[in-house]
Amino acid sequence: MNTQQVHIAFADISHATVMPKLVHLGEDIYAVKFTLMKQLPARHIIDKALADGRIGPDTVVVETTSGTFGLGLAIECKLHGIPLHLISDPVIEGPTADRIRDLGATVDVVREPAEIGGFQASRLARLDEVMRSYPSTFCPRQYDNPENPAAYTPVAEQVLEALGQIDHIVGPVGSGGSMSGLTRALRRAYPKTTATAVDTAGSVLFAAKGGPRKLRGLGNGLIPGNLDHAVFDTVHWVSEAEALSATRALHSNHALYVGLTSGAAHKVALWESKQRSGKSKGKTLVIMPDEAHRYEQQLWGHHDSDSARTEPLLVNHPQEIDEQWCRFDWNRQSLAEANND
Amino acid sequence: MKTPLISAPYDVGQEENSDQSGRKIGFGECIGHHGEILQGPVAQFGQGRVDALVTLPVQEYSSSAIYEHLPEADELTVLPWYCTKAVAAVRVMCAEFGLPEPRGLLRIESNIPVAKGMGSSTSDVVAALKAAARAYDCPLSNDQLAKLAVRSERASDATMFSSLPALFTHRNGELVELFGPRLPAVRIIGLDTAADGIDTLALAPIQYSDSDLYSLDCALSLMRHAVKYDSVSAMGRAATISSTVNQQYRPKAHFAKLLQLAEQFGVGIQVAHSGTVAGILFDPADPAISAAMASVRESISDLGFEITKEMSLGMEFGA
Repeated sequence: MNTQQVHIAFADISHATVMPKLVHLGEDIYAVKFTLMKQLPARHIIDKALADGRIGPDTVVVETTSGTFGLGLAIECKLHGIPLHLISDPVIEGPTADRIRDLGATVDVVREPAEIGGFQASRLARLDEVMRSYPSTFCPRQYDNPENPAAYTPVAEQVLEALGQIDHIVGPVGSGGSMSGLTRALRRAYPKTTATAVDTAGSVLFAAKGGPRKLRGLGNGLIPGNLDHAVFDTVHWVSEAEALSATRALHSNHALYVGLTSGAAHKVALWESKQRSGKSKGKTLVIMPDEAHRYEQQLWGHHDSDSARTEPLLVNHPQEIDEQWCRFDWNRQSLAEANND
Repeated sequence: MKTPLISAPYDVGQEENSDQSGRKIGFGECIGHHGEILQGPVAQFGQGRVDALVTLPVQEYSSSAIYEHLPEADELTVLPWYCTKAVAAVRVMCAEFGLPEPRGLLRIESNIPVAKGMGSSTSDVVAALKAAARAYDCPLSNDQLAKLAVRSERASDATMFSSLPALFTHRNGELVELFGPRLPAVRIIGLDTAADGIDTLALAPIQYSDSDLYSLDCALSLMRHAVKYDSVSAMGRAATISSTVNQQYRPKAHFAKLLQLAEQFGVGIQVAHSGTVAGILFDPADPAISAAMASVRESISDLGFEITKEMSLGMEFGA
């Protein structure tokens, strides 16, 4: 229902695309659909650093990133005229790296994963070297900087203004910024809002075993400081194949052309919604961090498997998850508590 | 038109407000409010934070004034005698607008309790200004009224301006943001948390924490939603958030208990942020509202409070 439309011309593409669109996907599900979600913390962190004077006329912004945060930074730094040096690993190569380089940033690809901590660790080591090579640097530190989750407060306000009471929020977790920040902000208004994290096998974020992750963009090999474990009620682990099917279905059913982590989150949200009766469905937000562009080949090349689970397997502990769809009642505990069980 | 609280010896129609003797007469009124739904330094796009409020206007409280210009009088007399600010405001108005020096009688009647954070003083002033403006056939815009009222008081209330659902600046009642044509319909059980009043102008300014500010921003978002989508529950939640923030700095007795009642039986709680009254809010469309309000009445009585007035909002107000 559109009561009033306000039309303006935006100062630049960042202003135009940084906030998400809220899309009703039928019944109780609302997509929080970003063009590129990481633009939001990138912009907030850069703006603050410019205002505080931590980015000066000769400062180089340096950061370690596997993709979307780097792209967000590249856009912001380009628009502000700030030099940017990113450290990443081979997964970034392709259109994302092309876009980042085209925006004038240096993309420094680390070729060898460290024995402990994998590519994440070797990138951090390289980050250290690079920071020492410039006279003045600023590192956004997306995994620990509290301005990352704080950047999502305007999204909470947008959602409250558009939808009023929110009962459930489901979203992919990677750096921990978006889900931690958004959930905490929403709970100021509605403390009972439940939060479900969408993760993938191989990620250590929620006390599961570490390993290679086929579904990139969510999960992590290290625990980011910004991940506020005590915020989450439930965790689901979704496989790449399941995410691909879900993302295809999101397009064929709703014409939403979004990335794999968005499809995974939608799949989980749909299942959780089905467990609630008509009267107690409330409103569910599904966080959709990016669009389908960089997944196109996989998306159209995918074929559904008959052996796919239609329901997630409930595990007694995250260490018991397998390669397919699983879930666990996290119950807002800390990581230490989960590891002690 | 609402029946005036006091009856005039003359017909107060605008066309007939003077006779050959040079006497003029005018009538004015201003509705009061029951504190605020929301108050504090809220973020406004492109302006940083603005100290603003959303008032809760209620017809059950109002001030009325009758202004008689009597050329044979030496000066302007006011009844009751203590409404000196109203006299001052009328003097300023006459000076500003090139009107004759005020002389005659100004009578003010009001059922707004004094010193409770309900804007009694401002309502008196605005009613008096409107009455004098009518008497002198000098139409004033809301903006002009507001500026005149502010000059007679250090801080003013927003109901002077209009009863539209809007965000006004705290200090001088300037319109910041208009939410829509009307507030959602709501029923209110009002009570006074302190028998003695307070000097609303003597309070030290509040130092809000970042957490408080974010909470108020959420309340403002919910207020926009409430008016746009006619949601009394969103408005109730906004009021609860704001009054909970306020409680840290201007505590009202038994607030925790009142909050619990509001959450159990109603849609929220609002307070006079610089005063003592509080209101439990109910959804008029709730089928269980009678039982809910009965339970709350009983609990309020158990706490030792008296219910001051039961109010309802459900009509569109003219400015």
